[in-house]
Amino acid sequence: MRELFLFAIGASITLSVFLISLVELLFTSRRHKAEKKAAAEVAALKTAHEETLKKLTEESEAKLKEVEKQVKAADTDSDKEIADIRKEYEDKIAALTEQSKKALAAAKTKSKKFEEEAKAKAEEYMKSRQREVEDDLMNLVLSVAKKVLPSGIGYAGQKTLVMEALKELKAESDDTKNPA
Amino acid sequence: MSLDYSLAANQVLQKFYLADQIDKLHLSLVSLLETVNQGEMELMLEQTPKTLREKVGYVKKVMEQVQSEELRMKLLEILDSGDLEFFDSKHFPDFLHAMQRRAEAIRVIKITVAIEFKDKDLHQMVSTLSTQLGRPVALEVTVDPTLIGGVIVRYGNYITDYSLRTRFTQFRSDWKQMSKQ
Repeated sequence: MRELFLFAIGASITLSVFLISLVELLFTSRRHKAEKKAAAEVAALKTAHEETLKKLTEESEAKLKEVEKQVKAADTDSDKEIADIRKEYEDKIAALTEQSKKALAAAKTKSKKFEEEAKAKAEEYMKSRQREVEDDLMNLVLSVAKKVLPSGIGYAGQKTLVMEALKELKAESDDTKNPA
Repeated sequence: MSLDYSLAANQVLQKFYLADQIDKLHLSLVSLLETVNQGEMELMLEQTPKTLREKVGYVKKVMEQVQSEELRMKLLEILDSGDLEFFDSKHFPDFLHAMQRRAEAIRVIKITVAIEFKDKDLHQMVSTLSTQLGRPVALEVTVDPTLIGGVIVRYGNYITDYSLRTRFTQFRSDWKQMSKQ
């Protein structure tokens, strides 16, 4: 019995080991299959992933290129815009400068004109006053001369004046020979 | 004839220097020529019954009526010298015509002066004018004290103003013109 028992126990252990080995083998086989399948799936997935990745990469690159193009285009546009804005700014500044120059010149001209007009008016007034004063002075001198001269000339002076005048008639004497 | 009528005419005309004298001379010559033309003098001088004294008296009476003092004095002077022949119809008209021609040749010059001049000075002026104008002249003198001095001479259509008044006016005008510029 004991031997049987031992046998049974040994057989049981052997069977168990066998079973375990069998199970192990089965599981191992299954595992191998599963691993193989998994590897295949992994490979497929990997391939798919790689393809997807490749595709994505290509798409990304294309997009990048597109973006780059757009960026370049945007750069170009912005440069042009900047140039336009700058040109517009410069034009406006130039126009404003020109306008301010013109305004300044006009203001200067106007101011000069006013100054000249004022000067001319002042000069005219001065001349007019000077003329009036001179005329008054001349009238005074002549009226005094008229009052003083007749008594101052005397008979001899009067005679001399007349004789001198008559002697000047010679140049016109020809006309008197045959008067009209 | 003892007296040259041409010389006599010149002697008489030397005394004329005023326009009034020339006017009177013209009237006197016209009147004497009229008397001569009427033949009254000729009749009287050629009447043999009349004495020399009567003839001289008649001529003297006629000559005394002559308006021009200078002509009258000269004619009476000739008569007083006893030259009765001068007044006959052959010589006297020639003398009168000669006088008339010379009187017509005298040009009357009108002058305006500031003061009244003495006769000798007026003579001098006439002499100067005659020389200047190359013909005998007589003066018609007007006194205008406003002239101040100098003279205004009018002859024919010409007026020449040498008065101080005009000189002053001209001077004032020139002055005003100059000051305007």
